[in-house]
Amino acid sequence: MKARRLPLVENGTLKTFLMSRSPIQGFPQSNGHGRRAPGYEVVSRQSNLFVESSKKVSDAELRKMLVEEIKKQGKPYGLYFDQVSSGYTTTARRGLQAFTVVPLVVYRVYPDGRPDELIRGVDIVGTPLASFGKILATSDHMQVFNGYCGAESGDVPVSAIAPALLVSEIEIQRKQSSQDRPPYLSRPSDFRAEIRR
Amino acid sequence: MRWIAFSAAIVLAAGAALVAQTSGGDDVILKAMKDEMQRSKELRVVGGGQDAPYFFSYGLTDSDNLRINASLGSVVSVSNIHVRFPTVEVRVGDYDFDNTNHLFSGYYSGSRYDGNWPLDDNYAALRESFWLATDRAYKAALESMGRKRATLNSSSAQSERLPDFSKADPVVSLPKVTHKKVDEAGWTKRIAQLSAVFNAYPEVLTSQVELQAIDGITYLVNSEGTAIRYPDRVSWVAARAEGQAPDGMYVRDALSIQSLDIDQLPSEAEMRKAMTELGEHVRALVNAPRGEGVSGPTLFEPEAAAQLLAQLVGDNLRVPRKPMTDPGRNINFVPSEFETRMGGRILPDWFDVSDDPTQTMWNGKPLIGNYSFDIEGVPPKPVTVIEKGSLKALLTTRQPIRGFPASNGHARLTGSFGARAAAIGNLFVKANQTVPLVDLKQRLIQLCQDRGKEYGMLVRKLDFPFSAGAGELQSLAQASQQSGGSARPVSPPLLVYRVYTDGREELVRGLRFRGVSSRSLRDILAASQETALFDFVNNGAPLAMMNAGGYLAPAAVVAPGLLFDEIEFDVPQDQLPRPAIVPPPNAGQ
Repeated sequence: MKARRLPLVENGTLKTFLMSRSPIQGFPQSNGHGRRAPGYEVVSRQSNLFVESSKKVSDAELRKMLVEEIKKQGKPYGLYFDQVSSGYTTTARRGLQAFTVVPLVVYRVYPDGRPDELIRGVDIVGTPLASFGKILATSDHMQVFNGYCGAESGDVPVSAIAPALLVSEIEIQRKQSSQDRPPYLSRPSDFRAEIRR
Repeated sequence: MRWIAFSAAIVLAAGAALVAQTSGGDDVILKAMKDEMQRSKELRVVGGGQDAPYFFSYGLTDSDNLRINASLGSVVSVSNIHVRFPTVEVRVGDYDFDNTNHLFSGYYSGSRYDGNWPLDDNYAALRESFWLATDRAYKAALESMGRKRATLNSSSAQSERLPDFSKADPVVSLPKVTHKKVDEAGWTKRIAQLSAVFNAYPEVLTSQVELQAIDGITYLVNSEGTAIRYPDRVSWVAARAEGQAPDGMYVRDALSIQSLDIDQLPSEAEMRKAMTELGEHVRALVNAPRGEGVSGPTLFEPEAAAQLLAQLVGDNLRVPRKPMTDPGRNINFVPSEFETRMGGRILPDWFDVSDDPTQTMWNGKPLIGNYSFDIEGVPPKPVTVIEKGSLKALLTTRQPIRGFPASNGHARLTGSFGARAAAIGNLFVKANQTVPLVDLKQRLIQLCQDRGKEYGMLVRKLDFPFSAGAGELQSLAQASQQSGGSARPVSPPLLVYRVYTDGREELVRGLRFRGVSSRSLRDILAASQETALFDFVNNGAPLAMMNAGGYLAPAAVVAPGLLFDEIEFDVPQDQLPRPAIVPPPNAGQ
């Protein structure tokens, strides 16, 4: 099937699904989204996902709103997610309808004007509807994220185009941590053979 | 404990003749190994736990691996990769009691940071890799040692405890070794052309011809002072063809032709002849009658006898030690059938068997079981394993086994529980009473007449190394155990014939052995004057299954034809798949 543009959500309301030639109730036709990696099963998959908003502010304004929200909620700090490496979700009916996002670069943003503080070891978790309901505003310019998305279809290349999001509340969890002991000997390139005990 | 990761995990234990000695001082790999090992000795002082490392061994194989697959005249895949495969070993404790030989020896619960090894001769990067690998090996050793001590605390005292590791004399041998240039384009064309032979056989449903050329240089340095570098090469052309009989039974034939030197592989004409025979065999098997379960006198022609002895004698000469484990815990461990048979009779008393990896030629043919050092850096010694039919010695590694405290240089494969596994080099099976093969066949017929049997059996070729998949191997192992045989299955025959009393031979298909083990060798009645040299690339997998297993130990067996008083055959009672509905597209050609 020929690929085509498909409006999925209009004014916040879900209108249709991405479809392959495998029909589901109420959606008997493909809309050209049956994709797969070579050798895998065809599954309906995203291609270039555009997320647009009508409540747009500048980046500086968005940050100001974040600080205000932190103060309003009386929290010691907010979080600024700069880069995300990946994420995953379960969509099987028997599974948890939740998602995890694995961030790479996360900062604490303090309301008192202290510089942002880089932190490590957290993942974002949540359920889609609850999380989407808490978006307060978006920035006024879009950025492109290119990556691979895996499913029964194997990995297919996908893009997501979205503005920055200000979310009033987000749930994070600590990453699995390792009990590994660092190497006994220092790096050979140090050659001083420092002893780490 | 075995891992199967093909191209990234090739270490051979072969070695061709060594060339001129040089200092080896110009070699970046060697320098990085020696320098980092020297530094690692600091772990004796700064390491954690009560057990200090007493032995370090660094190995590295730098290998160019070419693999070409073709089918019906068309190239299916070509891969030509340069890999470096390290073996870093740290032992804590002492020779008597160390971290090995426990169920969890070698197991490490931490993270690995030493995944990728630099392919360039970059001194700093190599040292970094050896550093992290040493750190992990050391931590794994401490972990195993902790578990081993815990096991001892919860078990009653054992009456006899063998040392865990034997001493070996240090060897220094650093000849200059260079990689050989392999003609990839030429071989790709040749393999494609060889695979085209099967176009002439519509009975052949699937066929494949493969070349693997492994050109390694192996380095080994240990803290006892051994420092060696040697060429580590082997190449082979393997082919497999499968057809389907009218009743749906799959039938196949396979071959593998190998050499330590790729330039010494047979000519294209000779290989084409071998491929044609394969096609003819599959055609004959498709049209052959289905065999029936039978038990009776059986003649193994010399090549099939060598294939059988590689399994029944060769494999059993490696006696692994059962690892220590907590009381009551089950271990999946297949012992050698020879474990308790030292001094006992294995063969009739007119047989002698020896393994001699130092031999390079036999009757003008090269012996591929020749090597200079095993993977523990020990030069091999010739061993008389069976004398006058009785078991006198085993093939050993540096892991002592009862009665054999030292290595005889046969550590050739990756083993389990922190030890290496022994394997044969060149196994010579010598019969001291022989008759010509034609007389052996007459004797087979005579036996059938005496017992009122319609026919005897003749085995011309076994499926060794095993050419089918893991599923078939599993069902073979199950059948072997269920029929009261050993936990070690024996390769099924590929070419087996009924020999009628008038001398006529009739090929049958679908037979496998039932209850055949090393104990069957006591039923040998006679051996032939004619002997065959059979060679194969042993990889440590059951039945040396093709393309399984990590390490490669090229091996040879020289044996006469053998007449058995009685061998049992049966036919698997499987549901057979329906043959293809539409005839093959090339059937009319």
